[in-house]
Amino acid sequence: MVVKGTHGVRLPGRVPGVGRAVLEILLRPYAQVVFSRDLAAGALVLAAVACMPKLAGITLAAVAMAAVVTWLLGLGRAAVREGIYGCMALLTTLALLAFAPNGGSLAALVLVGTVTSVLLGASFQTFFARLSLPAYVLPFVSAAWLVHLASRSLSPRGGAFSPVVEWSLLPAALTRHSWLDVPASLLFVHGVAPGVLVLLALLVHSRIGFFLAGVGAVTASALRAWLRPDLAWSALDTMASFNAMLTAMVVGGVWFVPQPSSMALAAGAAGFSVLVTYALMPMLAMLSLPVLSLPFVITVLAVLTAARMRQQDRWPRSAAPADRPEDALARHLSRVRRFGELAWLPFRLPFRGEWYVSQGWDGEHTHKGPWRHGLDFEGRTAEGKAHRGEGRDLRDYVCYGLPVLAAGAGTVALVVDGIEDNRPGEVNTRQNWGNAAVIAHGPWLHTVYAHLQPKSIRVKPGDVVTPGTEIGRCGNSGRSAVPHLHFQVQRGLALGSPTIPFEFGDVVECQGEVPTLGTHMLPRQGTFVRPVHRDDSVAQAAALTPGTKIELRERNGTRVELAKVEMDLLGTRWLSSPHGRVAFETYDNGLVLLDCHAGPDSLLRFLVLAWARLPFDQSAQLRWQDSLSRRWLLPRWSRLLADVLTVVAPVWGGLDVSYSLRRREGAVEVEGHAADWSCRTVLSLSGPHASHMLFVEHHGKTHEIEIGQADAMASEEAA
Amino acid sequence: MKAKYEPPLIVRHSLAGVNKLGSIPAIRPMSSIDGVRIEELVVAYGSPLFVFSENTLRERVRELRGELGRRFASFDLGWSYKTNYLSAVCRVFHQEGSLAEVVSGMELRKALAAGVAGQQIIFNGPAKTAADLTLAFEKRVQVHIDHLDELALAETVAEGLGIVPEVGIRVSQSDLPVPTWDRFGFHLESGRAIEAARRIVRSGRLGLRSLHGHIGTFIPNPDAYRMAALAMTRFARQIESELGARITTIDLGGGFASHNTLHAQYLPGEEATPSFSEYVEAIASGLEEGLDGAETPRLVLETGRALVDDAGVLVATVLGNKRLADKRRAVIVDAGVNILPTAWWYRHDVRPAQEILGTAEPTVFFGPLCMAIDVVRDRVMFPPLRVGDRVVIRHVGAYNVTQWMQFISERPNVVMVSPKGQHAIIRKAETLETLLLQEQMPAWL
Repeated sequence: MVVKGTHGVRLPGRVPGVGRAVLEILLRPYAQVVFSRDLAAGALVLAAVACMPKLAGITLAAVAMAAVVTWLLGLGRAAVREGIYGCMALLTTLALLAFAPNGGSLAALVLVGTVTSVLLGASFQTFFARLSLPAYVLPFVSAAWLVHLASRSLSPRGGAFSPVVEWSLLPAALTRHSWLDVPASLLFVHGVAPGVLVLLALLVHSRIGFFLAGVGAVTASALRAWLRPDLAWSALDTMASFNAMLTAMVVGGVWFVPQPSSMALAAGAAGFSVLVTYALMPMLAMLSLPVLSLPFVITVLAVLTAARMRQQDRWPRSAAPADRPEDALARHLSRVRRFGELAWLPFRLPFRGEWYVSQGWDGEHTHKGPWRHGLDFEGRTAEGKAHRGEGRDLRDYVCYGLPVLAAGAGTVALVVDGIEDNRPGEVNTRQNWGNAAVIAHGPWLHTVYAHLQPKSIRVKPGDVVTPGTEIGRCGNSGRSAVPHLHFQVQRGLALGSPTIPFEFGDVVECQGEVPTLGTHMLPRQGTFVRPVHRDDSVAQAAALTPGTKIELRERNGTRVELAKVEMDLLGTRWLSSPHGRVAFETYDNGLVLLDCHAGPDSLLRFLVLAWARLPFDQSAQLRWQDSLSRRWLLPRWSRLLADVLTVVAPVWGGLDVSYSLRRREGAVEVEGHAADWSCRTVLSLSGPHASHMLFVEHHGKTHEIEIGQADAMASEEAA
Repeated sequence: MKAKYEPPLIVRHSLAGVNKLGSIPAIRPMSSIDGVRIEELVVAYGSPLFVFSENTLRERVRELRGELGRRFASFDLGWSYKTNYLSAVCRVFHQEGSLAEVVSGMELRKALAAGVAGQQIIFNGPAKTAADLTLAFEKRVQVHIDHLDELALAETVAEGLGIVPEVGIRVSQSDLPVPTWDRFGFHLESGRAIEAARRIVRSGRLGLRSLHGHIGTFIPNPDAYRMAALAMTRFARQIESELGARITTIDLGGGFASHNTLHAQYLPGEEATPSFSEYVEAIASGLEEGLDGAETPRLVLETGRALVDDAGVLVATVLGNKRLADKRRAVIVDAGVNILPTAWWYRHDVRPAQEILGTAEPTVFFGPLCMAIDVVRDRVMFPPLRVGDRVVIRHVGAYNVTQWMQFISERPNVVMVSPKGQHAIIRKAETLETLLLQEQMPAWL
């Protein structure tokens, strides 16, 4: 397929429109069997089913019918295209065919199985969403059981329309002949070819997932060898094995970030699911019900609900929703590297302009013991002195009377006022904190601003403050010999509560020739720091207004890519083109790239390096470090290798980039240098329709890309 | 014939030290700029020679931005082009985040040609033509209206373009402890300013967003800024309450004193000039008093000479010595008021560029012009100079390279020295060809 570019350049593109929709509707349900959205994985699973050609026809009919039913029930187009209900119908049909091979009418089977599984799918989803838990294959298990239980009341000769009559609890399909029957049993079929194809589908979807499936299978085998050494392999063991595989894949790769600790948890959960299988089998046999994938669902729900009782989200760490484990891992690693471990609440520096850190954590004067996590800030003159003139008057001191600002959003919890300022050099040890304000940012999280000027505090308890709201003025009250601001974070509300560690977001450290931006850092004693001073013109130039069409055009005329800015429910901005999409977050102090899914032929890929982060700061020059996910930039095949490497050596997944920004008339230039990449972005500040230039050098090849609003560029050309 | 009596020249020898008025500042030579030897520069680029220190430019503007940044959430500096619009100097200021403040069509076009975005330009000045305003509105320049006729013209131009641009008005004040500058803008106390505001808001053809007040130049009294800021803020609140137009920007113009010394000034500028922090503190307290808890508007300052004066020096070469009738020593140097018009305002600090031995005595520095007014420095205690010695005239960064004239000689090279000691020409010396290039001969001659 080719998509015609706006300027007459023909581009290779993905299958658009109707064709793609049909493929998604038909293939996604197959992909969902291995927890994937990937159409290639879906095609492989379909191929596995098609090893029995009759099955392919029947399941395709079931999947198509599920789509129609989903649509008729008004469950939405997204549900149709994601294929979750389709997957339920597919599994139900497969199970019915496997467990009741001599059933009645095929048409009735597909019809009843599909409608029941779609209905139950929607119903379970609503119910489990309230508990914030996944329903997974529960609708399929229930639908299969329902049809089975109902069919017992039906006449054995129920005519052409009796769906199922005779069931075997351990069908022949699940009797193992070779190891490859275990993966094939995910589809309730057997044979070498389906087994290989399912494994391939797993591998295409995710290398980590493939590895985890192995962990599950090995755990199941080991347990069998330990618990049932004298018994021959039966269909029960096969069921235990595939349940263990599914459990390990989901626990280790979906709900937790793939790391050694989550691998261990996955193995444990897989073992648990094996026990559940052995436990359920005799119980359900009394009801003549097959176990199906129930042990997997029970185990995952047990692990997830138990994990909620953990006091700290560590070892393993919960993962944000992602298409595949590789994405979850990459996102997690990059989040830690780029935003810090303590990024739960990014505090801003509690003042404007440049201040000097006169006492850091574990300082030599007062930041000791329970109060070790405190910071003292004071102002300095251009010559580096704390005061002008002789320093005998409080007003000689640079910071005296300067505004003190709220470090984050919250509510004023406590205000102490009315304590006189000390004369320079004198200390009031009776009222240690002097005039102070305490702001509550959440339960058991407070910031303290101490030694303020008397009568300067402008807030009262109960006032809602936003980051940067003025609280009062820097003074010299309490245990303060010269005017300064004491800041600390504490769990308790009372002044004097023990302190806890914290970090500030977006700190400009003014050390040396060029200031450095620390995106999450603790200011060190003896340094000059300031918050980011927002530059509106840069913010406007980099604005990604939802709905805007952006054109990326390579200068030597080979490629043009049209992308559109979209915003999702969480407020993340996506720049999406037919070739890929990149996620950005814009906030007061800058623009940050969050994620990238772009093919090797997409120009969006070059934005990863160039726009990884753009601080909206006013400084003439600025430097910062970033660490991107190497995965974003690798070609498809090297990515496969990288995925597995990253699990064992997380360091490898990061790509360290050093950036420097400088300005000239009407433009901001950002240069970034990584190991084998470098880029220079010229961001034009002349209005919303200006176009920006991007020069990327990779493996000795330079790409020159113009980025501008699509409409503006088109009209310019017309003019 | 009897020889005419000539009184002897008596020079009192004294050690550098103290007299009854305090310490006598010894004249220290200034032999280098940011580590680059002045002699090296003169050999490379000729004499006279303007030298700008990039380091000093950046230090000064960073100091002012630092002071503003500690107090104001939202502020901007507008680089006053008329003070020095050499492209390299402007670039330094733009790199440091300054907007461009222009006062004429030519300056506006110069800023745009340099690549400055329209929104980053402030257009002041009392004489804007229809063409200037058209260009300004098209490029979304922030225009400050100076008088009623200009207001009418701006409305016509905007209507012709089919847009409603946001503008500001220039406001002059009398009730300040400085000489009244009422020729720029609408007068506040007599009600002209509010009339102009009413007209803009009620006609709806322009939007009123900012107020601009330039209270004067070389104002050594920070309290004048406090009072100006207070009056402007109150005026902004009057506009908001009476007309419902929200004033988002208050521009207090320029006028901060540099480290130069005016002819009429007693104390030397290095000691008398207030620091940036004193000016900024005064403005902050004026704004706070006027706002009385209301949301702080964006503050704009257009400080010119206080940022650039210190960064420029003029190096000149001694051409000769003579004794005047009153026995003063006179030194003729190759730089005159043609390239140093600020000598008419300031007692410039003059330093030798090399160690000089000898007794300091009252000395006058004359330029090379054939005119009586060509006095570079009237009276300064200076040791004897020889032909070929270099002198450095300090604090000449403001106005000279824009107001200099081409009178009986070509304008010299201007160079910039980088913090790392690199140096390069930022404006080439003129030649005879430069002069002849513009001239034309009518056919009948």
